Amino acid sequence: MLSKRQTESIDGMNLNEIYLLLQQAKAGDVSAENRLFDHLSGRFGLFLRIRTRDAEIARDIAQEACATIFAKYKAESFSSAEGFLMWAFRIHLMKLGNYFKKATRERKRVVSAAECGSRTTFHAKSDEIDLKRRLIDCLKRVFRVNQRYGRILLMKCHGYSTNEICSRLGLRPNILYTTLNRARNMLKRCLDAGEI
Amino acid sequence: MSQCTEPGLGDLLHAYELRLLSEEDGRRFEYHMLTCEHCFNAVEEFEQTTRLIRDEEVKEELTADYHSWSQEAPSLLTKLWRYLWPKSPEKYPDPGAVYSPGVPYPSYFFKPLFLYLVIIFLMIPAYFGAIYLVRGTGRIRPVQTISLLCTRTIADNTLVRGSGLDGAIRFEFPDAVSGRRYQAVISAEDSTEIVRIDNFSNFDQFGIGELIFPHRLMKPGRYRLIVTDTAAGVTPNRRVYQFMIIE
Repeated sequence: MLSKRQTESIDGMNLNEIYLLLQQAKAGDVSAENRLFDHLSGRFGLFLRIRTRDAEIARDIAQEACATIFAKYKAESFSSAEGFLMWAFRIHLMKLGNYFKKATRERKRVVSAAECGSRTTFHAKSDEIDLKRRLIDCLKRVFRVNQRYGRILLMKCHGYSTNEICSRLGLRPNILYTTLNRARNMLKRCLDAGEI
Repeated sequence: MSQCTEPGLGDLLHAYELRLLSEEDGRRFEYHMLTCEHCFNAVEEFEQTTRLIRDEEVKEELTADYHSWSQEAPSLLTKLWRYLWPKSPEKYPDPGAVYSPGVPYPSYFFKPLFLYLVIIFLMIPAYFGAIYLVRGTGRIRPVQTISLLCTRTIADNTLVRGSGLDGAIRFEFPDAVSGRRYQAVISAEDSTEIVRIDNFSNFDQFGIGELIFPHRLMKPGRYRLIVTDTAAGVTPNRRVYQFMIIE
């Protein structure tokens, strides 16, 4: 049902194009339907991977959600692309929630504990080991320039919530977000070009 | 690369990657990513790095020696200042507690610089006290001396005020008894008493007495030193000496 490109994004598709594809798919256009679902699975797959921190699990959830969407979308009526996206998004969240409940019940994986404070199931490959090494170096360099970023990151790893971090550092949330974004840009430059 | 369609939401980018957003804001951003190429590409491109940032191994490495790499190498001046005024103890590795506003932490009350200041503050009066003790009691100061005899003319008994020295006045009192108290009065020409000592007993075995006439009391003019044996009864033994102070 889903192509190999399900986890890839398709650039340059705006809301109008999505709505047009949706209309064509509902009318029975198979290629439009494939294109639409390729796009959606790529988009949703990313946030599922971010949330679950596991590509395999994210792919399973995405497949399950897409299957539900695929089965139901023709029976639904959507006045706009936003409505369709929101509906599909909710289905993904529902599937994600079901997975979390199941995982908690079975004590196999608790996503909240999969945050910084616990070991992950991530298996390092050689290129990732190199990236990890570079990342640590770059983080140290960024922390020297932007010590606040270091504190935020460490506090996050120690389990502080955003509100707690803000109150303890005396920051407003928007300042916190701006700080994070600036540090991210520095980190990205360091990783890409080797300099901050 | 395209621009974020909603810059306000785009600011949440890294907070979302680090899972620092609330559930509601996280959903808003995820929904935003469905339509925003910029944010979607950014998150996707940084996905592996994000996962590694949250990796336990990376976290352990970063927290292991937080203080060593989180600060630039301090200059000598900074080192000196930190030595003189060290920071209060930090509660590491709980980094949030260090910066908690209003949370009291034990601080070094007796920081070295503070101690030095206290020591200096105490040393100043101690120094002047020591100087006073030395100068007030033990120090031998030069004086100008005159020896008064009842028969000597006044021209021979002259103290010079301009010398800046105290005057040591030696006088002969033949009938002086050791241990007895005498009255010694120095008065000016108009009979104004300049110095009065009621219990004067500074006589040697030969009956030579000596007293100090302070320089600060010296004014040019003629003076008389009257030494009286008050214990002698109705006709006290009384001697008068004359001397002069010139500029």
